[in-house]
Amino acid sequence: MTCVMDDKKINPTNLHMGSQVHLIDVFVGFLKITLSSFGGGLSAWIQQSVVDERKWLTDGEFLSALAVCRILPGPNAVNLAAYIGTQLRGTTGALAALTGLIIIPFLIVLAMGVIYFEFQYLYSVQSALRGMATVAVGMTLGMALKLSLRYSFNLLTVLITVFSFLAIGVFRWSLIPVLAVLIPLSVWLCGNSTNGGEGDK
Amino acid sequence: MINNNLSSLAMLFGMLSLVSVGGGNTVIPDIHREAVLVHHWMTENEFAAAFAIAQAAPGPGSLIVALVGWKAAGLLGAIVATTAMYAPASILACLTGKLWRSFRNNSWQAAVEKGLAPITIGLVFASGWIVSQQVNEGILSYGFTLASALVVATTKVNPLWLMGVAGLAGIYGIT
Repeated sequence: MTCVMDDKKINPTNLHMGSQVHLIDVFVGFLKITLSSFGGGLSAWIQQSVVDERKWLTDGEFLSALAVCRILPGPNAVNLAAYIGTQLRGTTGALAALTGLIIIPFLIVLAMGVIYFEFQYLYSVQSALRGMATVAVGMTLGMALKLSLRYSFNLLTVLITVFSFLAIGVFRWSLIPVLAVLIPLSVWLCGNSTNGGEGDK
Repeated sequence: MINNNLSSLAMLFGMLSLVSVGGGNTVIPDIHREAVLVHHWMTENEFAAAFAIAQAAPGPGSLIVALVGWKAAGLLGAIVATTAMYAPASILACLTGKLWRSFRNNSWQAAVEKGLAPITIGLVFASGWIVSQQVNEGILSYGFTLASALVVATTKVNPLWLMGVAGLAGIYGIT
Protein backbone atom coordinates (compact mmCIF):
# COMPACT_ATOMS: atom_id res chain seq x y z
CA MET A 1 0.00 0.00 0.00
CA THR A 2 2.79 2.42 0.83
CA CYS A 3 4.22 1.85 -2.61
CA VAL A 4 0.95 2.92 -4.13
CA MET A 5 0.89 6.11 -2.10
CA ASP A 6 4.48 6.93 -2.98
CA ASP A 7 3.71 6.38 -6.59
CA LYS A 8 1.03 9.00 -6.64
CA LYS A 9 3.40 11.56 -5.21
CA ILE A 10 6.19 10.71 -7.59
CA ASN A 11 3.96 10.64 -10.57
CA PRO A 12 1.00 12.95 -10.13
CA THR A 13 0.25 13.12 -13.86
CA ASN A 14 -0.55 9.46 -13.96
CA LEU A 15 -4.09 9.62 -12.65
CA HIS A 16 -5.07 6.18 -13.79
CA MET A 17 -2.40 4.46 -11.71
CA GLY A 18 -2.50 3.91 -8.00
CA SER A 19 -5.06 3.28 -5.34
CA GLN A 20 -8.19 3.78 -7.43
CA VAL A 21 -7.57 0.49 -9.23
CA HIS A 22 -8.91 -2.21 -6.94
CA LEU A 23 -7.31 -5.64 -6.79
CA ILE A 24 -10.63 -7.22 -7.63
CA ASP A 25 -10.82 -5.02 -10.76
CA VAL A 26 -7.36 -6.19 -11.81
CA PHE A 27 -8.44 -9.81 -11.32
CA VAL A 28 -11.79 -9.39 -13.10
CA GLY A 29 -10.19 -7.33 -15.86
CA PHE A 30 -7.68 -10.04 -16.73
CA LEU A 31 -10.31 -12.76 -16.31
CA LYS A 32 -12.52 -11.06 -18.91
CA ILE A 33 -9.54 -10.56 -21.21
CA THR A 34 -8.50 -14.17 -21.04
CA LEU A 35 -12.03 -15.55 -21.53
CA SER A 36 -12.35 -13.59 -24.78
CA SER A 37 -9.09 -14.80 -26.25
CA PHE A 38 -10.02 -17.87 -28.28
CA GLY A 39 -7.42 -18.97 -30.81
CA GLY A 40 -4.77 -16.43 -29.83
CA GLY A 41 -4.59 -12.64 -30.04
CA LEU A 42 -4.23 -12.33 -26.26
CA SER A 43 -2.02 -9.22 -26.40
CA ALA A 44 -4.64 -7.48 -28.55
CA TRP A 45 -7.35 -8.25 -25.99
CA ILE A 46 -5.08 -6.94 -23.22
CA GLN A 47 -4.50 -3.72 -25.17
CA GLN A 48 -8.20 -3.26 -25.81
CA SER A 49 -9.14 -3.73 -22.17
CA VAL A 50 -6.23 -2.15 -20.32
CA VAL A 51 -5.70 0.87 -22.60
CA ASP A 52 -8.94 1.55 -24.48
CA GLU A 53 -11.61 0.52 -22.00
CA ARG A 54 -10.12 0.85 -18.54
CA LYS A 55 -7.47 3.47 -19.35
CA TRP A 56 -5.04 1.94 -16.87
CA LEU A 57 -2.13 2.60 -19.24
CA THR A 58 -1.49 5.08 -22.05
CA ASP A 59 -0.50 3.88 -25.53
CA GLY A 60 3.13 4.78 -24.79
CA GLU A 61 3.16 2.91 -21.50
CA PHE A 62 1.53 -0.13 -23.09
CA LEU A 63 3.99 -0.18 -26.00
CA SER A 64 7.00 -0.04 -23.69
CA ALA A 65 5.44 -2.73 -21.47
CA LEU A 66 4.96 -4.88 -24.57
CA ALA A 67 8.57 -4.36 -25.64
CA VAL A 68 9.94 -5.18 -22.19
CA CYS A 69 7.74 -8.30 -21.95
CA ARG A 70 8.95 -9.56 -25.31
CA ILE A 71 12.57 -9.13 -24.32
CA LEU A 72 12.07 -10.95 -21.01
CA PRO A 73 11.87 -14.76 -21.14
CA GLY A 74 8.45 -16.33 -20.73
CA PRO A 75 5.13 -16.26 -22.56
CA ASN A 76 4.43 -12.66 -23.63
CA ALA A 77 0.86 -12.43 -22.35
CA VAL A 78 1.79 -13.91 -18.98
CA ASN A 79 4.69 -11.48 -18.64
CA LEU A 80 2.39 -8.65 -19.66
CA ALA A 81 -0.13 -9.57 -16.95
CA ALA A 82 2.60 -9.76 -14.29
CA TYR A 83 4.15 -6.50 -15.47
CA ILE A 84 0.90 -4.52 -15.77
CA GLY A 85 -0.39 -5.95 -12.48
CA THR A 86 2.84 -4.74 -10.85
CA GLN A 87 2.44 -1.29 -12.38
CA LEU A 88 -1.11 -1.06 -11.04
CA ARG A 89 -0.87 -2.57 -7.56
CA GLY A 90 2.63 -3.98 -6.93
CA THR A 91 3.21 -7.65 -6.23
CA THR A 92 -0.36 -8.35 -5.14
CA GLY A 93 -1.55 -6.68 -8.34
CA ALA A 94 0.69 -9.02 -10.34
CA LEU A 95 -0.75 -12.02 -8.50
CA ALA A 96 -4.31 -10.80 -9.11
CA ALA A 97 -3.62 -10.28 -12.83
CA LEU A 98 -1.88 -13.65 -13.21
CA THR A 99 -4.60 -15.55 -11.36
CA GLY A 100 -7.27 -13.84 -13.46
CA LEU A 101 -5.38 -14.66 -16.63
CA ILE A 102 -4.65 -18.30 -15.93
CA ILE A 103 -7.01 -20.00 -13.49
CA ILE A 104 -10.13 -20.50 -15.67
CA PRO A 105 -8.23 -21.27 -18.93
CA PHE A 106 -6.17 -23.81 -16.94
CA LEU A 107 -9.39 -25.61 -15.99
CA ILE A 108 -10.83 -25.33 -19.53
CA VAL A 109 -7.64 -26.71 -21.12
CA LEU A 110 -7.56 -29.58 -18.64
CA ALA A 111 -11.23 -30.38 -19.23
CA MET A 112 -10.77 -30.34 -23.01
CA GLY A 113 -7.60 -32.38 -22.70
CA VAL A 114 -9.22 -35.02 -20.52
CA ILE A 115 -12.14 -35.27 -22.97
CA TYR A 116 -9.67 -35.72 -25.81
CA PHE A 117 -7.47 -38.23 -24.01
CA GLU A 118 -10.57 -40.26 -23.07
CA PHE A 119 -12.49 -40.07 -26.34
CA GLN A 120 -9.83 -39.12 -28.93
CA TYR A 121 -12.36 -36.74 -30.43
CA LEU A 122 -10.96 -33.47 -31.64
CA TYR A 123 -12.05 -32.93 -35.21
CA SER A 124 -14.43 -30.03 -34.67
CA VAL A 125 -12.09 -28.39 -32.15
CA GLN A 126 -9.34 -28.29 -34.75
CA SER A 127 -11.57 -27.02 -37.52
CA ALA A 128 -13.19 -24.40 -35.30
CA LEU A 129 -9.69 -23.33 -34.28
CA ARG A 130 -8.72 -22.86 -37.91
CA GLY A 131 -11.58 -20.40 -38.33
CA MET A 132 -10.99 -18.59 -35.04
CA ALA A 133 -7.27 -18.25 -35.68
CA THR A 134 -8.00 -16.13 -38.76
CA VAL A 135 -9.89 -13.64 -36.58
CA ALA A 136 -7.28 -13.79 -33.80
CA VAL A 137 -4.48 -12.87 -36.21
CA GLY A 138 -6.67 -10.07 -37.57
CA MET A 139 -6.92 -8.74 -34.03
CA THR A 140 -3.15 -8.63 -33.69
CA LEU A 141 -2.86 -6.76 -37.00
CA GLY A 142 -5.80 -4.54 -35.99
CA MET A 143 -4.06 -3.63 -32.73
CA ALA A 144 -0.92 -2.66 -34.64
CA LEU A 145 -3.04 -0.59 -37.05
CA LYS A 146 -4.98 1.11 -34.25
CA LEU A 147 -1.83 2.04 -32.34
CA SER A 148 -0.30 3.34 -35.59
CA LEU A 149 -3.33 5.50 -36.32
CA ARG A 150 -3.11 7.08 -32.87
CA TYR A 151 0.68 7.50 -32.96
CA SER A 152 1.98 10.64 -34.62
CA PHE A 153 4.58 9.29 -36.98
CA ASN A 154 7.37 11.33 -38.53
CA LEU A 155 9.84 10.16 -41.16
CA LEU A 156 12.27 8.81 -38.57
CA THR A 157 9.73 6.79 -36.59
CA VAL A 158 8.13 5.41 -39.78
CA LEU A 159 11.56 4.15 -40.83
CA ILE A 160 12.15 2.56 -37.42
CA THR A 161 8.73 0.83 -37.50
CA VAL A 162 9.25 -0.44 -41.06
CA PHE A 163 12.73 -1.69 -40.23
CA SER A 164 11.54 -3.49 -37.10
CA PHE A 165 8.70 -5.12 -39.09
CA LEU A 166 11.00 -6.20 -41.92
CA ALA A 167 13.76 -7.50 -39.66
CA ILE A 168 11.51 -9.66 -37.49
CA GLY A 169 8.50 -10.37 -39.73
CA VAL A 170 10.00 -10.75 -43.20
CA PHE A 171 13.70 -11.52 -42.76
CA ARG A 172 12.99 -13.49 -39.56
CA TRP A 173 16.15 -12.29 -37.84
CA SER A 174 16.27 -13.27 -34.19
CA LEU A 175 14.65 -10.88 -31.81
CA ILE A 176 17.35 -10.25 -29.24
CA PRO A 177 20.23 -9.19 -31.55
CA VAL A 178 17.83 -7.00 -33.56
CA LEU A 179 16.55 -5.28 -30.43
CA ALA A 180 20.05 -4.99 -28.97
CA VAL A 181 20.94 -2.77 -31.93
CA LEU A 182 17.58 -1.16 -32.63
CA ILE A 183 16.58 -0.02 -29.13
CA PRO A 184 19.68 2.07 -28.32
CA LEU A 185 19.64 3.44 -31.85
CA SER A 186 15.97 4.38 -31.70
CA VAL A 187 16.20 5.89 -28.22
CA TRP A 188 19.18 7.97 -29.35
CA LEU A 189 17.63 9.07 -32.65
CA CYS A 190 14.19 9.83 -31.19
CA GLY A 191 15.83 11.73 -28.33
CA ASN A 192 17.85 13.85 -30.74
CA SER A 193 15.06 14.65 -33.17
CA THR A 194 12.93 17.64 -32.21
CA ASN A 195 9.52 15.99 -32.28
CA GLY A 196 10.42 12.34 -32.79
CA GLY A 197 7.74 10.07 -31.40
CA GLU A 198 6.32 13.02 -29.50
CA GLY A 199 2.69 12.06 -29.41
CA ASP A 200 1.38 8.69 -28.42
CA LYS A 201 -2.29 9.63 -28.58
CA MET B 1 7.50 -42.72 -10.26
CA ILE B 2 4.99 -39.93 -9.81
CA ASN B 3 7.42 -38.08 -7.55
CA ASN B 4 10.16 -38.51 -10.12
CA ASN B 5 7.86 -37.14 -12.76
CA LEU B 6 6.91 -34.18 -10.60
CA SER B 7 10.51 -33.18 -10.06
CA SER B 8 11.28 -33.69 -13.76
CA LEU B 9 8.31 -31.46 -14.63
CA ALA B 10 9.38 -28.77 -12.17
CA MET B 11 12.96 -28.77 -13.44
CA LEU B 12 12.06 -28.92 -17.12
CA PHE B 13 9.48 -26.16 -17.14
CA GLY B 14 11.31 -24.04 -14.59
CA MET B 15 14.26 -24.02 -16.95
CA LEU B 16 12.19 -23.50 -20.11
CA SER B 17 10.42 -20.59 -18.41
CA LEU B 18 13.71 -18.73 -18.22
CA VAL B 19 15.00 -19.55 -21.70
CA SER B 20 11.78 -18.86 -23.62
CA VAL B 21 12.94 -15.49 -24.89
CA GLY B 22 10.54 -14.17 -27.53
CA GLY B 23 7.48 -15.91 -26.18
CA GLY B 24 6.08 -19.29 -25.20
CA ASN B 25 6.01 -20.69 -28.72
CA THR B 26 9.79 -20.59 -29.00
CA VAL B 27 10.11 -23.52 -26.57
CA ILE B 28 7.36 -25.71 -28.08
CA PRO B 29 9.99 -27.84 -29.89
CA ASP B 30 11.83 -28.36 -26.58
CA ILE B 31 8.60 -29.29 -24.79
CA HIS B 32 7.83 -31.73 -27.61
CA ARG B 33 11.26 -33.35 -27.40
CA GLU B 34 11.13 -33.79 -23.62
CA ALA B 35 7.48 -34.85 -23.36
CA VAL B 36 7.34 -37.21 -26.35
CA LEU B 37 10.88 -38.39 -27.13
CA VAL B 38 12.73 -38.26 -23.82
CA HIS B 39 10.16 -38.97 -21.09
CA HIS B 40 7.41 -40.64 -23.18
CA TRP B 41 4.72 -38.83 -21.22
CA MET B 42 2.58 -38.55 -24.36
CA THR B 43 2.41 -39.81 -27.95
CA GLU B 44 2.98 -37.65 -31.05
CA ASN B 45 -0.77 -37.48 -31.64
CA GLU B 46 -1.52 -36.54 -28.07
CA PHE B 47 1.07 -33.77 -28.22
CA ALA B 48 -0.40 -32.41 -31.44
CA ALA B 49 -3.88 -32.51 -29.90
CA ALA B 50 -2.66 -30.83 -26.71
CA PHE B 51 -1.10 -28.07 -28.81
CA ALA B 52 -4.36 -27.54 -30.72
CA ILE B 53 -6.42 -27.53 -27.52
CA ALA B 54 -4.19 -24.99 -25.79
CA GLN B 55 -4.29 -22.74 -28.88
CA ALA B 56 -8.07 -22.97 -29.28
CA ALA B 57 -8.99 -22.59 -25.63
CA PRO B 58 -9.14 -19.09 -24.18
CA GLY B 59 -5.97 -17.98 -22.38
CA PRO B 60 -2.27 -18.35 -23.15
CA GLY B 61 -1.33 -21.02 -25.72
CA SER B 62 1.52 -21.96 -23.41
CA LEU B 63 -1.05 -23.76 -21.23
CA ILE B 64 -0.07 -26.81 -23.25
CA VAL B 65 2.28 -27.39 -20.30
CA ALA B 66 -0.78 -28.15 -18.13
CA LEU B 67 -1.67 -31.06 -20.41
CA VAL B 68 1.90 -32.33 -20.49
CA GLY B 69 1.90 -32.21 -16.68
CA TRP B 70 -1.46 -33.98 -16.58
CA LYS B 71 -0.19 -36.82 -18.73
CA ALA B 72 2.99 -37.11 -16.68
CA ALA B 73 1.54 -36.99 -13.17
CA GLY B 74 -2.18 -36.20 -13.09
CA LEU B 75 -3.71 -33.07 -11.60
CA LEU B 76 -0.72 -32.39 -9.36
CA GLY B 77 1.49 -32.71 -12.43
CA ALA B 78 -0.62 -30.15 -14.27
CA ILE B 79 -0.34 -27.73 -11.37
CA VAL B 80 3.41 -28.27 -10.95
CA ALA B 81 4.11 -27.90 -14.69
CA THR B 82 2.02 -24.73 -15.01
CA THR B 83 3.53 -23.13 -11.91
CA ALA B 84 7.05 -24.03 -12.99
CA MET B 85 6.45 -22.58 -16.48
CA TYR B 86 4.95 -19.30 -15.30
CA ALA B 87 6.46 -18.49 -11.90
CA PRO B 88 10.12 -17.78 -12.77
CA ALA B 89 9.32 -15.60 -15.80
CA SER B 90 6.52 -13.83 -13.92
CA ILE B 91 8.80 -13.03 -11.00
CA LEU B 92 11.29 -11.58 -13.46
CA ALA B 93 8.55 -9.52 -15.15
CA CYS B 94 7.31 -8.36 -11.76
CA LEU B 95 10.79 -7.27 -10.67
CA THR B 96 11.33 -5.47 -13.97
CA GLY B 97 7.95 -3.77 -13.54
CA LYS B 98 8.94 -2.59 -10.07
CA LEU B 99 12.30 -1.36 -11.28
CA TRP B 100 10.65 0.49 -14.15
CA ARG B 101 8.11 2.02 -11.77
CA SER B 102 10.82 3.18 -9.38
CA PHE B 103 12.42 5.25 -12.17
CA ARG B 104 9.10 6.86 -13.12
CA ASN B 105 10.29 10.44 -12.71
CA ASN B 106 13.61 10.01 -14.50
CA SER B 107 13.88 11.76 -17.83
CA TRP B 108 15.72 8.84 -19.46
CA GLN B 109 12.65 6.70 -18.95
CA ALA B 110 10.53 9.01 -21.08
CA ALA B 111 13.28 8.88 -23.71
CA VAL B 112 13.36 5.07 -23.64
CA GLU B 113 9.56 4.91 -23.87
CA LYS B 114 9.69 7.26 -26.86
CA GLY B 115 12.31 5.14 -28.58
CA LEU B 116 10.51 1.85 -27.89
CA ALA B 117 7.11 2.87 -29.31
CA PRO B 118 7.92 2.74 -33.06
CA ILE B 119 9.92 -0.49 -32.63
CA THR B 120 7.09 -2.19 -30.79
CA ILE B 121 4.50 -1.17 -33.39
CA GLY B 122 6.74 -2.79 -36.01
CA LEU B 123 7.06 -5.92 -33.85
CA VAL B 124 3.30 -6.27 -33.49
CA PHE B 125 2.86 -5.97 -37.28
CA ALA B 126 5.59 -8.62 -37.61
CA SER B 127 3.82 -11.04 -35.23
CA GLY B 128 0.58 -10.59 -37.15
CA TRP B 129 2.36 -11.13 -40.45
CA ILE B 130 4.12 -14.30 -39.30
CA VAL B 131 0.99 -15.88 -37.82
CA SER B 132 -1.05 -14.85 -40.86
CA GLN B 133 1.24 -16.86 -43.09
CA GLN B 134 0.53 -19.92 -40.96
CA VAL B 135 -3.24 -19.60 -40.67
CA ASN B 136 -4.47 -17.83 -43.79
CA GLU B 137 -5.30 -19.66 -46.99
CA GLY B 138 -8.17 -18.89 -49.33
CA ILE B 139 -10.11 -15.69 -49.90
CA LEU B 140 -12.62 -16.15 -47.07
CA SER B 141 -9.87 -16.77 -44.56
CA TYR B 142 -8.13 -13.50 -45.55
CA GLY B 143 -11.55 -11.87 -45.46
CA PHE B 144 -12.03 -12.83 -41.81
CA THR B 145 -8.56 -11.55 -40.94
CA LEU B 146 -9.09 -8.26 -42.76
CA ALA B 147 -12.56 -7.77 -41.23
CA SER B 148 -11.23 -8.48 -37.76
CA ALA B 149 -8.28 -6.10 -38.21
CA LEU B 150 -10.58 -3.31 -39.39
CA VAL B 151 -13.13 -3.89 -36.62
CA VAL B 152 -10.39 -3.75 -33.98
CA ALA B 153 -8.58 -0.75 -35.50
CA THR B 154 -11.51 1.49 -36.34
CA THR B 155 -14.51 0.55 -34.19
CA LYS B 156 -15.29 -0.22 -30.57
CA VAL B 157 -17.24 -3.33 -31.57
CA ASN B 158 -16.23 -6.46 -29.68
CA PRO B 159 -14.70 -8.87 -32.23
CA LEU B 160 -15.93 -11.91 -30.29
CA TRP B 161 -19.01 -12.35 -32.53
CA LEU B 162 -16.74 -12.41 -35.57
CA MET B 163 -14.71 -15.11 -33.87
CA GLY B 164 -17.87 -17.14 -33.33
CA VAL B 165 -18.81 -16.82 -37.00
CA ALA B 166 -15.28 -17.77 -38.07
CA GLY B 167 -15.27 -20.75 -35.71
CA LEU B 168 -18.53 -22.02 -37.22
CA ALA B 169 -17.20 -21.41 -40.72
CA GLY B 170 -14.18 -23.51 -39.73
CA ILE B 171 -16.34 -26.37 -38.43
CA TYR B 172 -18.34 -26.42 -41.67
CA GLY B 173 -15.13 -26.41 -43.67
CA ILE B 174 -15.68 -23.05 -45.32
CA THR B 175 -12.43 -21.36 -44.29
